[in-house]
Amino acid sequence: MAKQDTKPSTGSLGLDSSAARAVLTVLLFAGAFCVLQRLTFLLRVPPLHRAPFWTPGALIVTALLLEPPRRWWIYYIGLCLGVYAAFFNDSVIPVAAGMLAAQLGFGAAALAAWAIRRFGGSLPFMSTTSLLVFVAFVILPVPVMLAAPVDLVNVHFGADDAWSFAVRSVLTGALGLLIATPALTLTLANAGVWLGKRSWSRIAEIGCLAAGLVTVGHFVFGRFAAEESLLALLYAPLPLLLWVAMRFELAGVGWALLVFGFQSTWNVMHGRGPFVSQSPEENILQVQLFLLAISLPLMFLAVMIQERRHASSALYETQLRLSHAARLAIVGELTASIAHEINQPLGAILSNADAAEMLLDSAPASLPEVRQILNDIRKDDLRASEVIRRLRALLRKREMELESVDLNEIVLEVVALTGPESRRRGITIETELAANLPLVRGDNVHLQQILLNLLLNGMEAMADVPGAKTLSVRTALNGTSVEIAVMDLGSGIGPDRLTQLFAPFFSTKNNGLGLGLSIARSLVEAHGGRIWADNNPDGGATFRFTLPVEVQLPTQDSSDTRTTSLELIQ
Amino acid sequence: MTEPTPIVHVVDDDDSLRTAVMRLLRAAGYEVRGYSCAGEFLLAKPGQTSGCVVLDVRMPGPSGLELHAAYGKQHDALPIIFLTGHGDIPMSVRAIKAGAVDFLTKPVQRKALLTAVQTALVRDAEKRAAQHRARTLQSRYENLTRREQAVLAHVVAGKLNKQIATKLEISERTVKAHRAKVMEKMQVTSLAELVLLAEQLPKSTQPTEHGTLDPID
Repeated sequence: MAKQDTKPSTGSLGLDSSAARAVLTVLLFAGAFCVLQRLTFLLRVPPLHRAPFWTPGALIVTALLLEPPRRWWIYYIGLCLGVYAAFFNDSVIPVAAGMLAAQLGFGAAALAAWAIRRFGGSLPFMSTTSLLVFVAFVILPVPVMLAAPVDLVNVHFGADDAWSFAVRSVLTGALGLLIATPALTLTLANAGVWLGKRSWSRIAEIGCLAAGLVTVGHFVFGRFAAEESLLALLYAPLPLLLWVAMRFELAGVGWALLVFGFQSTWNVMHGRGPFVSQSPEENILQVQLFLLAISLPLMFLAVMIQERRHASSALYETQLRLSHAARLAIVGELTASIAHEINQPLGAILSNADAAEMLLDSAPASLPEVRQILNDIRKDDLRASEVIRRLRALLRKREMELESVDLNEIVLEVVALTGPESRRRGITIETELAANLPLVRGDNVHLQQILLNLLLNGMEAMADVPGAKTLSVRTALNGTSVEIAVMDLGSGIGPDRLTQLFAPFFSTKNNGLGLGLSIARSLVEAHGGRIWADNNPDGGATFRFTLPVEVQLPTQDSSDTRTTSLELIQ
Repeated sequence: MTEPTPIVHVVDDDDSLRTAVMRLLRAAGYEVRGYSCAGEFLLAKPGQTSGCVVLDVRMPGPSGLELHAAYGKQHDALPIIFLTGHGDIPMSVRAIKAGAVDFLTKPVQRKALLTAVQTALVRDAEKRAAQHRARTLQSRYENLTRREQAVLAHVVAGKLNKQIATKLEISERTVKAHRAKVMEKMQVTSLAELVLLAEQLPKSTQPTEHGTLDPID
């Protein structure tokens, strides 16, 4: 965690960077601990001088969770410094007691961090198991270890009911850890990612939610005096909390609960809200039970949503990789002809250079001809690099990017790519492109992949056909969608196979995997289109796909590209 | 008979590659002609003068190998050097077996191309010289009368004048006269030379003792 804060400053210090980083980490951690401890002091309910939840412990667990054990000593030093700074002029707890508590607290945090790492998977709080392990350790063993010394000291200083006191301070420690640890850990672990994305709609949403939570919290906990408060109002925050759980997952839930925790405690201290009843002791317990009751279900809900989202993004990732692999396979089929396509200009360049050299060596060197040769060399070089550009664009592994696309251009590009292959097979490709074709919204590479697939299939279908072989590609506007048709003069498709064609692992080729068309279908469907095949009345088959015409908004910036999380395969 | 300068024919559908190869060959001092497809090449009747062909394997329409298969059978076919983008072994074996001079992969090295062209031109020149010799020989042989052809056949077979006279039922003196005429018409001075020439005659016209027998003559 502190690693991220110190990184920029280490370079400018010019000292031994790892030592400087360690010192900065110690100071930052001590400062953060001190601030959190003082905030907790602010929430001490008079006359008990006890807060309902204790958050500094969460800071220790977070640090130990995010850092490898060999760096834990840095946080230990930071903790000792922080405790000293926080307790040295405190009227309730003497520094010595704070220090003693810190020793045991560090041990307890280390135990919790070890357990979460050992039993909960590599990423803390990213799975239900991880949260379960955390809850199991945080509900009893860790708080007991944390609270015990303070309780002993309190008993020593004359608390009347030592047992109930101990139980309640365990509850205080447990609640603080439970609410604050996931929030701090996940926020610090993902800070880099969030800062990197900096999506304004997301920031606005966070702002709205925060304002909403504070407002609702104010109405529920602080608007009314104790005797006017309605218990039913306690349900008012629920919609907002569910929203937080759905959109911001575990970290969001943690922060929202912290906000409510501070608000409710603050208002209890000032005699407002639904939790104010007979005794301060009871009041604190009320706050604690309320927070405990809403935190557990919400946190589990959030972590499950988180898991689901990760699973679906992993699936999306897999699908991207699959379609990339399919693209590689297609290009593999084209390798021979693409190599030829690059070799031609290379051959011309070499022979031209040889010729130029010989011309320069000859007695009256013919400079105009040499100039002409240089011109041709340049032309051939560009021709070779154009082939490579096309390939590279097709092979790039990346997210799906939606932009405004002219399908006619896609057709021309793909026909250029398959040109050498079709020549090799003795097939003529005819294009019939509709003029003024409206743009569609789509991913350039994926659309090329779909068409490439259909063209190669069409060529394959005509492999054994004698005589002139023609493959036609047509684009047309069909109502609100653009249609691309690829028509071959092969032997057609058996009627029983027409519906199976697009199913995964269905192939009519001897060595086909049967993935090409199924991937083509999922790509078309991800673009909101449809793909199907028909037999032509006079032989051969036609594959068609449609894509919806892009809705033109007057203010739309057509160069704007965005990644989407469209599901590729249903 | 003065031989005109040999012509190197370059057949490749790729304009820029063809131009480059033609430039290189021209710079090396050859007379060069280019064709963008097999048909264009065939229509130009390239076999009338000596030369060779630099042929791209992969072309639209008939491929280089197909052209070679058909064109190579013609009696005046020029030797062929193949150029290919990706020469695989079976393809080159096929081409060389079918009589190609060389099988070069693109991008082609200057030295390899020029050496191959040189080899091909030498081969063509040799072939043309041999054809020329054969033609001359043939016309000399055709100048012989049937009786002289018969005498030639027997002489080549190693028969003595006496035996020939008996066989052809003519006098030994007449045989001697025919024999002198044959030596003169075939432009040889010794028997050994005559036998050698007779061996070089095409099979169909090679003198046989029986086929040319004509008792009436």
